[in-house]
Amino acid sequence: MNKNLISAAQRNICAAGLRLVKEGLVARTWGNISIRIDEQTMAITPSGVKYEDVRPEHIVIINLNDGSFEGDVKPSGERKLHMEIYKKQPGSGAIIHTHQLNASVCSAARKDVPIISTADRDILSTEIVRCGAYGLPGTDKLTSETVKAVGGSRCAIMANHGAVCIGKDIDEAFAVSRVLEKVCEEFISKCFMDMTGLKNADDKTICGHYEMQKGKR
Amino acid sequence: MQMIKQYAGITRCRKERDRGLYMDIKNVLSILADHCTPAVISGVLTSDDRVSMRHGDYIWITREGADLSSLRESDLKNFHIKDNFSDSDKISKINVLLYAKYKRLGSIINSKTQYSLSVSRTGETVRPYVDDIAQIAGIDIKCTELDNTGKIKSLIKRRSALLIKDYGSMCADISLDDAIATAMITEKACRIHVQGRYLGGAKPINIIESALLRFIYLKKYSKIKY
Repeated sequence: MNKNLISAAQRNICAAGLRLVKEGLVARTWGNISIRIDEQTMAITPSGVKYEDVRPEHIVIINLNDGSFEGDVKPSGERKLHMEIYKKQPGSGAIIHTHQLNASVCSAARKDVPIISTADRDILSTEIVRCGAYGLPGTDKLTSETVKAVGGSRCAIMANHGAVCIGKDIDEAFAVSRVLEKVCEEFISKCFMDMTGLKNADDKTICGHYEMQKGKR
Repeated sequence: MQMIKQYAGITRCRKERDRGLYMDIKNVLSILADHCTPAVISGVLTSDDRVSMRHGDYIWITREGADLSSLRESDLKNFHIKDNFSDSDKISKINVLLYAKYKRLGSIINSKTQYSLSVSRTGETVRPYVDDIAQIAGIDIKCTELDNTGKIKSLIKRRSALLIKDYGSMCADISLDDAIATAMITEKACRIHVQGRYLGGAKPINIIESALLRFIYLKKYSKIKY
């Protein structure tokens, strides 16, 4: 393995972790990030360490063929999911698993999300963002259902969990997560307006309608 | 844990339970400002939310109407956990009762963020719609009246969050840092509860899996015994 490539991947993941928190896509230790180093190897965030506290030496290097790793730091519990996506999508170079807000709403409703804009479809490489069936965190079921939902696209919603976003590099993975959040927000707004006949779907209007329905306004 | 270490560093107390016994109001104010100002700016808390912290047998709580993003010494009230409580402020009273009942609690936040307040007005129970709700808040987020102190104490026994009718959320955790995270998750849970209705209804994680997620989380991350 090229040590320079490994060091660069470790530094990039630390920076990406801070970016993930700054952009509001995760908080504390939630979510995870990986970067493919070469055909055999990936680097991934550790388990249970806050992004603000993660240092390059905490980033775990994993063999994509057998999942083995060296050192005492425990890698993210979702490493199998990252490994399987890298195997299925040879062109992918970075994966982020987020708990972003609007995607989480769609994930709890277990909804596939249709994409209206052509530009967004191009970025996400799909016309519909699929929602994979629920599996407990770190389980084979979660991995297989999410990989199935991703298919050949750049992202998927994970039922009752969050989202996974894929790019050829870390910048592209972030771009995918931003577009996914926008697409999910548009979907929620459309569903709200279709159901209520209202022309606005901001938080105040949604809460107002909900309370009115429950007889509190 | 970081907060606990920070308290220990400032107070030079080795025992966690004694932390803060010698902390003065300036230190309390500094810790609150460091955590609350960014939380208000990022929308995790609102500026008029109430925040309290325990220091050993002493409790500091922000006054009603205090602006969390620019706290001053006069915005803080101080109580001893064993004193007879004579303050008319109901939020302060329930905070003191919870600290007295549960030694594990280091901080409590009473938040009126938009979705938490909205669901608290309807009195509905919020289910664990995503993993992190089950892990951090508990197997559900129930709503109860502020005057029902017995039920509040009972609910907080195995949960970190509940809703207070018409008052938003109450999030109780081992440190201020954790309480803020719980408030964030509670608001997310309430958002999913409300918005999910317009997507055909949010489907919660089943009770056994929720309990399992909570159990593993507490064992792995919190290192506290319930």
